[in-house]
Amino acid sequence: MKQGHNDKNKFIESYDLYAEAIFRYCLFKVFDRERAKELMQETFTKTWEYLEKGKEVENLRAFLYKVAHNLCVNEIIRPKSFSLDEMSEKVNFNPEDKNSRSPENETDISLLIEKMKMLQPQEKEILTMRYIDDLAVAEIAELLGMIPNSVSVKIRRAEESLRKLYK
Amino acid sequence: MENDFNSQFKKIKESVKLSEQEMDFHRGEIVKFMDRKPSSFKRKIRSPFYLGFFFQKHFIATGLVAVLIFSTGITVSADSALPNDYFYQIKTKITEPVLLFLTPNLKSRTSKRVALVERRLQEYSQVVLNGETLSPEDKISFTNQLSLQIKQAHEGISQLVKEESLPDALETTNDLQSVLAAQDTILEKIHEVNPDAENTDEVTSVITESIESTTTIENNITETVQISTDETELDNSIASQKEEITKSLEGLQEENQRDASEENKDKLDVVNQTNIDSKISEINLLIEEADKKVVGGEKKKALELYNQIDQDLGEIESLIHVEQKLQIDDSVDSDEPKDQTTGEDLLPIDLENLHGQE
Repeated sequence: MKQGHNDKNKFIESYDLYAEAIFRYCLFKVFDRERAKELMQETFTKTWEYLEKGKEVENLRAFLYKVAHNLCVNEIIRPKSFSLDEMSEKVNFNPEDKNSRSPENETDISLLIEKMKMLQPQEKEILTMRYIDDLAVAEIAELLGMIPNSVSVKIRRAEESLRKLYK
Repeated sequence: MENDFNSQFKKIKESVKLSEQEMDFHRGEIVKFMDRKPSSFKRKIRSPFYLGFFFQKHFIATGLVAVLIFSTGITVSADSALPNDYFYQIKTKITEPVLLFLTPNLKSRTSKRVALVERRLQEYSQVVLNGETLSPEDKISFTNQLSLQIKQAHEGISQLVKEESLPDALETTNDLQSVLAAQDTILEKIHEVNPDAENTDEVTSVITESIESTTTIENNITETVQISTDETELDNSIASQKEEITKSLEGLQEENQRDASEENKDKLDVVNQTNIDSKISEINLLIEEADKKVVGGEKKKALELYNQIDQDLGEIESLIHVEQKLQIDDSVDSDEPKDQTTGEDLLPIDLENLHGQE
């Protein structure tokens, strides 16, 4: 946070702005909606604690992703795979969204999620960051401590892996 | 298909939402947490002339660590530390940068960076070979460190190109390429021996990508040398490569003879002796071919061949030295698996098929 971060309201505004994206990021890491919500909340409380210590955060969005990433990494890596039904249940698509309620859409999305789960952890992460969280290549590079060129290559390869899984 | 993915990702984005109640609930929890903790940000804007950092705890801590490093045996412990060891960060973040800083010129510094990449990969191989695992944090930190050091080696090479030290740039690129290719093979072999060993996918993927990017750099340098109107540039590069190849080959042959005369005391026979002999013969044939191209005036093709030979030699050297550098656990030897069809150990690397997967 660059300015006025001694203001609780500002932090809450940031919550309203980024909570959903952080939740999605966690969800695609742990594939458990309830746990993803807890991790999202923990991401914000940890960040608040960090700021309270008087430490500076230049890019709050990137910082939140880093905290969320670390929290998710600490989660138990779940070797068991979910069935499509379980997966849909766990991800729990928004029942308010009429478009996503069409059976065709639900199947497409569930299938994509199922395929995503089969990708390597980093491929899954990078596709989530790029296409679901809409992060720019440079932002992903900063978050993952990589050079932007490598990120672009990884995105291309992850897309390729995903495409192969559809064949 | 790509457009399909994009639209499906969009659908996921639109579908995976927190309801208003969920947003409110977690907002409330966060506010409760914030109220419990008093808000007392202490961010300060510092003057560019601020010297207070001299007295800050981090600086003092770093100073103490430095004193410890230079006055006790921590450097010794750190030097052999592996990525899952306590002193590892001291080695990679303090000791090695100091050594790099003290390395006098760009060529030596870049070579040192390549040596550090090799060191990182050997450390990782050692961890995998020991049957140990890295915690997710250590693994992320390790792959980041490895990517960074490869990137720094690439930057050093680019700098050599900028300074028009093309033969040095080419030589260092070949060294890096050999290191990456050899370690890739080594990790693969360790996994053949112990399929339950640490999952190396992330590190292997960094290696594979780096091999590709190093190949691009190598092609660019070769192209620069080839399109150079200055014929001496090409001659110098060829001469430098030949010198390097001759030295490597002599060293390799000496080592090969020494190994052949000694009883095999190695715990992990990574490279098959017969394959080394045949590879050396192959390399000698390639050298003859390259020499002929030089005589025939096909210097550009000759340079490409010399590059390939240099990389192959470097890769064999790395593989041969693996026993000396990796500390093999005695237990590995006794459980060594055998090839079901031939009854031979699975460990020796088939040099004929070094590039089999490319």
